[in-house]
Amino acid sequence: MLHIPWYVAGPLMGLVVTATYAVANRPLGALGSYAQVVDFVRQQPVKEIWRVWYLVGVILGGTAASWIFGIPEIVNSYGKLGSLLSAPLLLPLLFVGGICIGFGARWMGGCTSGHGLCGTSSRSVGSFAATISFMASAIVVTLLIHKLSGGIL
Amino acid sequence: MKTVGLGLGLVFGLVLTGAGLTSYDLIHQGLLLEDASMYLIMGSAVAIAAAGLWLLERIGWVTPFQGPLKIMRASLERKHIYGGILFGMGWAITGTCPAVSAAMLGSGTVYGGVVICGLLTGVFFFDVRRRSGNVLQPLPKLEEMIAGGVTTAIFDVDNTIAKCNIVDFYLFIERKRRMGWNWRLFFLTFVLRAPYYLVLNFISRELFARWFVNRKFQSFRYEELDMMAELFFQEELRHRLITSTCEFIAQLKARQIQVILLSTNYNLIVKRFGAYFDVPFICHKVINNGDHVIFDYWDLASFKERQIQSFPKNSIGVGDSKFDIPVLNHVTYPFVVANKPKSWFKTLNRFPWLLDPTVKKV
Repeated sequence: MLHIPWYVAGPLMGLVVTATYAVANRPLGALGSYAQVVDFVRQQPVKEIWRVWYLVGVILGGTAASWIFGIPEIVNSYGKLGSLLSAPLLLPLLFVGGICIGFGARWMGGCTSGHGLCGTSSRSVGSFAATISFMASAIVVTLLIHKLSGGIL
Repeated sequence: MKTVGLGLGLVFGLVLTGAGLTSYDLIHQGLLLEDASMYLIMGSAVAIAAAGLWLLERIGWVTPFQGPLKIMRASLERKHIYGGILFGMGWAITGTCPAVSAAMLGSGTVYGGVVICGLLTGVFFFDVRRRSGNVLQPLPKLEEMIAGGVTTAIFDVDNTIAKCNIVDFYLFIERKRRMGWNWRLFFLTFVLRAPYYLVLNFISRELFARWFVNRKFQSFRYEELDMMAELFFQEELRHRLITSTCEFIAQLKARQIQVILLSTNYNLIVKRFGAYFDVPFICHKVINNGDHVIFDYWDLASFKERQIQSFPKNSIGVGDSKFDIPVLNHVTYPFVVANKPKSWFKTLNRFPWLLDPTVKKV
């Protein structure tokens, strides 16, 4: 479902990253938003409230895109994974995957947007290492899943 | 600021969804190396953002909300690798990342919400763990220490002030002597030989000193080595000073506390630190013996421990590793400069205070 070709989407995302630095002096990381939410739940001081608004923006942006481009509302589907597994299996799997993402991202101090986009474009050594690490890990695990599922996934 | 955040999020979410990144199949095929669009998007985004940030830094951009633009850059740490491996696993399983799962939820895939729940749980676990691991005492105030009668501060400079050791110095000399391919070839063979030295160092530092230091350096003349040490300090070590240690030394000196550098390294290098901070130092010596040098390492093993005992007990001691803790227990105010997790000190009865080891860019 490519409604925006890569040569438009990529540069646009690059501009958003630059704009965030230009306005907020901070990297654009979705992980930070989640950390703010967790801080709020844990009754810790929420330092960057704008990050929560950013997250709300991303969600609304998703809604807007599916409305503009007429992406059908696929309420309970999840690509190939969704067609392979039924909900009782899929839900725990996604939840555990989510925990891996959350814990791992907090551990390395950023996520795909924080390290992968902002960190690498600001030529930060730690971010390059993190990006190489998670890319390599993701590719290896995906290939492993591909092998284990007998090529279905 | 809130509106700006919302606006940026809107655009980002719109592009993410529009580009199809919220689709599990696209990400999965990308990670299977069957579809390049994910990499093309990321690559072009990084290229544009890198150019944009370079320009902003170049023109000295001032942000409307947070003052002049100051981009923070992370130096390489283990957490980046370990965290990345775990993150990659989660990414491979779910096919989304934090931003994409939000856009996914917005575009109507309710399962994206499940990922978000897991994600929040993961972040929660990490934050709780980090907080409960904090067993360190708060840093004491300098005034309190002075009121306690402290007159001396001993700094271990093996690693604290700069990450420097004798292997670094050796490589620096070889790089200066060899050029281009000669150096690259040498470096490659050195990397292949390195495990052998590491094993020696692991068995005994004294063995390492005898085998490595003596064999590598004894062909040099003293003046030559001295000149190289000066160059090494000017070109490398000066840029690796640790901010918190430098500030600490400056504060102590301002309060008329005597600062002494203590190191198992050799005087050629340590005297540069002494001159830089304008403080005395205690270390091993390189002896000038006409056309070659002799490294004095007869008491390497207990050097620091014996030296520190010659100072009053009521002193400040600053070390940089777990191995310094036995030494630091001879003083009343032990500090360790380390970016290790707090659980690192768990097994020890006595917790030294931690200083943040931010590396100073001079």
